[in-house]
Amino acid sequence: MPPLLELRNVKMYYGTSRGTVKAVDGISFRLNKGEAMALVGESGSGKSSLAFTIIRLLPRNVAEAGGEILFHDEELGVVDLAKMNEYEIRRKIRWKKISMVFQASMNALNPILRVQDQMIEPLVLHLGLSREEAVKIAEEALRSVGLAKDVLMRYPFELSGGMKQRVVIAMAIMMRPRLVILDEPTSALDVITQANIMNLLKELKAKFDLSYILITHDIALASEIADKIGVMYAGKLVEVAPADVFFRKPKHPYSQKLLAAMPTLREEKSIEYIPGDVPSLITPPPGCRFHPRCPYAIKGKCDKEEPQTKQIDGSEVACWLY
Amino acid sequence: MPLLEVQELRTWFPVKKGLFSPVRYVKAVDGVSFALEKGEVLAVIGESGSGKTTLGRTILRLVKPTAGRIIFEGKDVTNTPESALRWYRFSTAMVFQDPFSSLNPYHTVQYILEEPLILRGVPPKNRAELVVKALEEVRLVPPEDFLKKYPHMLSGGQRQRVGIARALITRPKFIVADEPVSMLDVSIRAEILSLMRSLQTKYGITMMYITHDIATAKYLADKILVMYAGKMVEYGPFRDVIKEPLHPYTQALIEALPDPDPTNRFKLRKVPPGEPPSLLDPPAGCRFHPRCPYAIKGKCDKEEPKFIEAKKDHYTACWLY
Repeated sequence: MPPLLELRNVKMYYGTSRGTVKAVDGISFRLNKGEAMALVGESGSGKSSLAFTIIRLLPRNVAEAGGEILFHDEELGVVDLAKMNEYEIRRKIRWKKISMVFQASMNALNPILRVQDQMIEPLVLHLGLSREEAVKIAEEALRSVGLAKDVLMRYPFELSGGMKQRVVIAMAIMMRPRLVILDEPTSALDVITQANIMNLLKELKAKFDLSYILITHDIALASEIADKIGVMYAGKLVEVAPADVFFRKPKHPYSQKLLAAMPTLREEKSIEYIPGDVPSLITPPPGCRFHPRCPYAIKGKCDKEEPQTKQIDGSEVACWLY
Repeated sequence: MPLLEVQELRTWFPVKKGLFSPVRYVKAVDGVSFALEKGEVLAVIGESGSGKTTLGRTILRLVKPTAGRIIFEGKDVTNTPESALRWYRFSTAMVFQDPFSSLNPYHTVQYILEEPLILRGVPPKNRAELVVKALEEVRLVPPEDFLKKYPHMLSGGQRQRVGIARALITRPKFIVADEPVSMLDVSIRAEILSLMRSLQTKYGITMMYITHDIATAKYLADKILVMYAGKMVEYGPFRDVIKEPLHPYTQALIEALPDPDPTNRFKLRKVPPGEPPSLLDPPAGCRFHPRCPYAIKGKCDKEEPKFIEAKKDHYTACWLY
């Protein structure tokens, strides 16, 4: 069976007055049906840009976009999202097949609209459903995220942070999409609320056979849901590995450093840190982009040639050590 | 004699709805007591709205306490007028949560660090030297590269180091660090925490570390104080509390926190539903009882539990003990 989503050499550069920002620079991976993948990396590594590229919400100042984004669906067959126009994406893909929970989106709810009006808007406007149908769908979606239907009549300020986040998740799943992209879905929430939302996401995944792409800088949070982990660094995907392999034996030095820098509560370890800063995406270092911070960098190799992605015991790694 | 002693501290904010309605209070801090010896680090843990930040600000006398006592080096500073509080201001400092808004965008790093020294009347030629040393201490090296920079030219981690350098430059005895790493990437947190730990040890600074993340507190704290809806629910040595949390709320906070482990995805976390109550109208009895899995009907929802020493040095306010 073909994968649900396959990216082949996807690129997305922004044009700014200071130069071209290579936010997504040649990314390839596959995501199967019902699988959850976490994209981890520091801020400025291009994780969110990649999400916007997949769901085709490109910024206005996009300088170059390329590659193939193949989406497989029983109804549509295999389609390349990168080749579809905005009208087709709106009618056929967004909300229905792929939806997204944006970072801090619970604060993006319109304060002067009732929850109901915000929830049904995309259904009525973009998908052409009647108001009654749309309300019924919204009600059902709220129930599946554990909210009573009277929430429909409330305004966002009457809801707590956790409830607002549930509303946003309900919106993302109400058209029964195959893939939900979650961009830092719990970053503004308290720890206990965060755990409740992660529980909800696990239940929804099992119930509706959803696939997820979870974007986070918190590797511990990624382990809550991810079947596989993709590590991004300066616009590149440096490692993709099944969760069981990744957490026990990370291959790329950057992945190893990220895990070692993670403060943990139960495990006894002293934390290490990664010296230096994330490089500029306008003038990234030549060769492997991590080489200036890498303890194993090979002179004359890592700083000259870019490593190709290799398969090593189930992981895909782009590093000259392998 | 402890360096800092806080007794039954209360900070209530009055709220008036209409002209003739009675004044009600948001009881942000409602009866907190603890003591810190010189060089000790206390982690204050709680969710947003638990009153942890108000507690820190009240102790630094940035907010006026409603009741209770704050004793610093044996002197009562609870109600001391501002004019007689200069010595206390000079002995304390704060590191703020948001490194993006707590540094003045119109000032250079050099001036940001110099300002507290100017206020204390340090002569100009000593100031330059102290600023360079402070930058070296927080590993912003070489210092010459940073002196003339403005905050917007720095990364989040670098800005927070400037914030730490500013707090430490006057060698305070007591520091309140309010969520100093929560706005930073996980990968930078480790570096900032280890930096704070080494400087704290080097200068024997007493510190209050306010956070909602117990995992980061582990790298700094000797003691822990858990707050829920303005009340302290548990207090004791950090390791004892983490190993054997007594209060159901502390247990939930620990359960909610994942460690990186690929088997996490196969199980649901056992955490209580719901969110903390409004501080304007907190539940009767134990404030955690509506969410507590062990709540005893007719007891927890009626009477407020007393703060007791359940184990040696390990205190909690819960009817289970």
